[in-house]
Amino acid sequence: MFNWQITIGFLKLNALLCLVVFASGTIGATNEVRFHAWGGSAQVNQYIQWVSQQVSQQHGITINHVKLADTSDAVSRVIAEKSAGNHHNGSVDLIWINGENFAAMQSNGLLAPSWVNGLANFSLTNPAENPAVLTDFGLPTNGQEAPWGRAAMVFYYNGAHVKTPPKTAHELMSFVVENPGTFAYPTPNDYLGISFLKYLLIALNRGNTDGLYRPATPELFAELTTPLWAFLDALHPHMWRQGTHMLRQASHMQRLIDDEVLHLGFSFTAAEIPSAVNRFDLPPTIRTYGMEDGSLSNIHFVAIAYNSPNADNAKKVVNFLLSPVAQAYKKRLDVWGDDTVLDVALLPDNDAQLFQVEGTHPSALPPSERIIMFAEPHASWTDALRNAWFERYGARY
Amino acid sequence: MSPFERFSHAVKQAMILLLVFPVLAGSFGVLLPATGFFPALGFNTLDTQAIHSFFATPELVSIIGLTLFTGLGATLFSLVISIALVGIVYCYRPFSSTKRLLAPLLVLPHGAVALALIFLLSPTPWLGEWFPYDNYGVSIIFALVIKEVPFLFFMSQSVLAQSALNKELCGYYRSGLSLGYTPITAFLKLVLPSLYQRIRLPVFAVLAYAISCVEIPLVLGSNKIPTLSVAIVHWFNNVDLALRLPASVGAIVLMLLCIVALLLWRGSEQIIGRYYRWFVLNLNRTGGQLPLFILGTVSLIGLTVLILALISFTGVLSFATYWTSGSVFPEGITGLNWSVGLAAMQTPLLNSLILALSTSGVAVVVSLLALESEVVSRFMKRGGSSAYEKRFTLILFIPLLVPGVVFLFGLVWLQQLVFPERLWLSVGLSHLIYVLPYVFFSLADSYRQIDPRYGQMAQSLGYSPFRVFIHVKLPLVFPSIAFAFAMGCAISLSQYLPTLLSSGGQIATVTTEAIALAAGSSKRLNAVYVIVQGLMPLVIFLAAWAIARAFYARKTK
Amino acid sequence: MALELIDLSVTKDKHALFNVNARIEPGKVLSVLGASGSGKSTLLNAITGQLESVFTVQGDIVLNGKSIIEVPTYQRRVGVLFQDALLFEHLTVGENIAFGFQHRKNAKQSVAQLLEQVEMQDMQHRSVSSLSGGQQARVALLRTMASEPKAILLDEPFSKLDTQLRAKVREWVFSTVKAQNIPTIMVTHDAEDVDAANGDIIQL
Repeated sequence: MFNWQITIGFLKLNALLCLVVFASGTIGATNEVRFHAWGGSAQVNQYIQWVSQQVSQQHGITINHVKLADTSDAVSRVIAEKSAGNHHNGSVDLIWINGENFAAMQSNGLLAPSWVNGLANFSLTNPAENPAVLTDFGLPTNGQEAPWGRAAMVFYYNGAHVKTPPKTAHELMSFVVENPGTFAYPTPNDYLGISFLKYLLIALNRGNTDGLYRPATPELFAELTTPLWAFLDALHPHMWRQGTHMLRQASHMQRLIDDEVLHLGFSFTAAEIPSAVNRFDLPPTIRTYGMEDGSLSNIHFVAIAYNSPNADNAKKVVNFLLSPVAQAYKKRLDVWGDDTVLDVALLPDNDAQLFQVEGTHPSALPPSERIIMFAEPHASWTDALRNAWFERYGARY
Repeated sequence: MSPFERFSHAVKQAMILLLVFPVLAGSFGVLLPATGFFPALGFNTLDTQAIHSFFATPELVSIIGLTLFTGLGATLFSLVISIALVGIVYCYRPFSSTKRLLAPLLVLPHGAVALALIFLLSPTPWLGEWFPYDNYGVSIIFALVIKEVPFLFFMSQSVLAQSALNKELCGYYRSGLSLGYTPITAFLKLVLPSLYQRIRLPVFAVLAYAISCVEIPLVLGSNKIPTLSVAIVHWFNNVDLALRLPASVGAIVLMLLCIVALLLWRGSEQIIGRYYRWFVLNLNRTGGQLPLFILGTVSLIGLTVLILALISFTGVLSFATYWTSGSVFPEGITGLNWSVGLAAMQTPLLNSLILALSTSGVAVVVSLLALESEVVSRFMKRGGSSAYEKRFTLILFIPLLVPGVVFLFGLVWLQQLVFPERLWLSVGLSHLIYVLPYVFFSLADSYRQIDPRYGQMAQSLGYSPFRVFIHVKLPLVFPSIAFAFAMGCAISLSQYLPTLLSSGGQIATVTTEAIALAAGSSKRLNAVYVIVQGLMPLVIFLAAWAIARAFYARKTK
Repeated sequence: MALELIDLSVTKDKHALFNVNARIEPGKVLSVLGASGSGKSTLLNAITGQLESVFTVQGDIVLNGKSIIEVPTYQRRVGVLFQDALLFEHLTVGENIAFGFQHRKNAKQSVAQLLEQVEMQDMQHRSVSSLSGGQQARVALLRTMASEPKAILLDEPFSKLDTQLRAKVREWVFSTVKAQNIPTIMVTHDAEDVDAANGDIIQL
């Protein structure tokens, strides 16, 4: 009876499959490094795949890019493992991490102890001259996270709807009042959102910003944030949806600009704008620029979990990430466009040449444009600012 | 009892264990943090601090209110619309060919439907206040109704397809017509009461899901007043790790909310039941005819148009170049996003298929054996079978009635404790918990209806119970097996939280990747993933349907 | 090759439904009559070994000198024919019959021969749903005979056939069991069946 042969055959295949699946062994200490990184950008994903190919050829290491919808998913995972007593065989090796998640993991002992200084390529970042590679949102890294890329906040607008974009914070206010519903910023849970608030804090306190680089005492905080709250109170009613629905992630802002609901946005990665235009995710009428009253500069990092069984291999991967080849490839507009953390001036000529910028894109930041950068405020300001914002404007979801 | 019969009894016990234990263990794993015990974060004593901080959440009343409102509202609307649809399909022949139209909505994961709705509807200005992100739960109810109406519709159809019940209800219906009742009225008065009795459990499952759903409110809901399940997920994911404790309290409260909602529903059933009895007996020959007919037709047209619009719009979007919101068509076509998407999807696609095929296969085998055991027991016991069956059915529904958020986090903790390295086993088990009930129900009716005399006949010909199972019973229900298998695959393919949590993100499926990408900014790439998510189960269903046909077609000459 | 029912009684709730003593010689047909509910089907179930657990059975059943009361159903070699032919729809006519064979030897040939005996020789590859009632009954009979049963039970097997067909099929069945020397028990309502059986009668 043919049908039975086929059916029994299928059942056998299925049983075999199940056996393989359910009995499959462990993923313990192998040559696989599990890199937990936000998976929302196809560009980043492809870059990580390229990295995987490179380290596979050079060191025999494979990278498993675990795509996160939210970095806190990885944090959750390590916590779950720690609370179950799994201290040596964790499932997270490398994490692409930013300020607040880093602070949380560091204070709860979830990160591997100081290891960054031991990396050969770390010296290329010239930490003595560039202290920014040693602090994250104002907190010292203690060698527990390695710098990966650099960003400065830039603004972009849809040229089809906006003729003169605002160049200062005050111009921003006028712009939003004249064009209601065309601007929004993400909540301070998103690192771009909190960075926007810091930018406003600095820009609105022009000439009086010393206090921001000292610990935030209640008096200092109250004094320096007064103009900020006044500004936001005036801004919100003219924002998208009158500020009643705050965006959760910056990527949502970009989508809304593509929908032509919003006409003005901002981002940390200048190159992701022309990238998006190339992928048709933003209209070709987009233009990028920097605010005249300055831009916040930001470095993003990678860290190793305390219970990773593959710490050595993970360090080799990070060393590769810091190599001139990898950093130059990452900077390319057609790859990711993320700026390098290396001090290019220090590099030998043939390496430095890798970083030459080729060609421009109409939607990209004009190469001649000079952005005034200011440093991150003192670490205590971040938490204080965020909590105060939520107290004033909404619960913390 | 033959060894085979003993084996199938053992499998049935194992199945009950499999369904109940992880849920219980997981829920327990949430209980500990709720009472303040979380050593990994330094909380070493039991206290009520977490409970206090949960109840101190601002707007808690609104959150709970919104959760109940969307849960009960979505279920109510879905039920009413499904009844209207079932009614018009039952009473009017021309409509019955539209039965399969709603299938695409059935197999698409909830998250994908929410995304597709946003693509289609969000730039529309006049919907502004109401969709999406509104504070009243309208968008959430809308998306939930769109997903649950096809589910309840198909559940009703499979109930009505049972031949014994079908004959009986057909008889009632015809009597009603001959007594002068208009078709829909006859349906409402004579068919619906029996039908509703039999779809009560699926309705409860819909209610529990609507209360505890995460993906839809996450994508479409308000950020100011979230539903409770969304709030819990955010707390669990929050940078402030101490928020996990009130999150656990929240999970328990969510569980209680489910129970409250179920009790409210049951209470309403009593009240509505009284009114309904009056309606049935009120001698009104045309009661409900027009309203329900209109509702049914409008819903059918509306849903069909919506499905077509969603599919075509998402499809075009995945190939689109620049597309200004004013124009009907994009400026051009490109395969860029498809090539990027497909290249990235290779491993996840394989993982999705492996998980789907293996969990569904196991579920089918386990269900068949459990059903065989049940049929044998029923045969032996004769009386009291329906009470036994009802209890068993309830146990089967436990994973569907307990919110996933409640026990999944706890389950992960348990898995870490017991077998931290068996990734595929962990994920497979967590999928199995959800797949098994649906597969069992798809098989139950047809298997239970097998004429026992076939078995008797075959045994008299010398076939042992095991051989009877393989050579007689299985062929008799082959089409159901094919369908149940496809159904199981579809359920497994759409799982998000179980895969994510059980594997720590290390096993990527198309669904988990899609949600990760939904956090990004490429609408077009998201559209590609939505389409793939819809195609996968569709292909499997088509294959199942073709195989079932081939099975019988060969014999007809 | 006789079938003996020795003090065979079936009890439910301490209430005995019947107590039967009979000996059926090879090739003979015992007719069992009784009102509905008197336990005719239960008697057959007791003999095939498929009683539900609410019933208890006492006494003995001896087939060819061996007691089969403790033997599981599928090893008793007692064939059954029901009112409905219960042919398997996923198998052809020939495959249905072959299904009953004890050994897989020369299936095709034997099937062809068997079908010839009931004047259905060209129907080996037909699907069973295309057969008429009488044809189905014949195929069911062949299938049962193919398993070489040591005894046969008939549960009102002709009641769904029309009068003309009835006589013919009945004739086939009776002549077959006679030729094969198989003791047979028939449960029936029909007086004509009883006459044609021409054997002992039991009234429950």
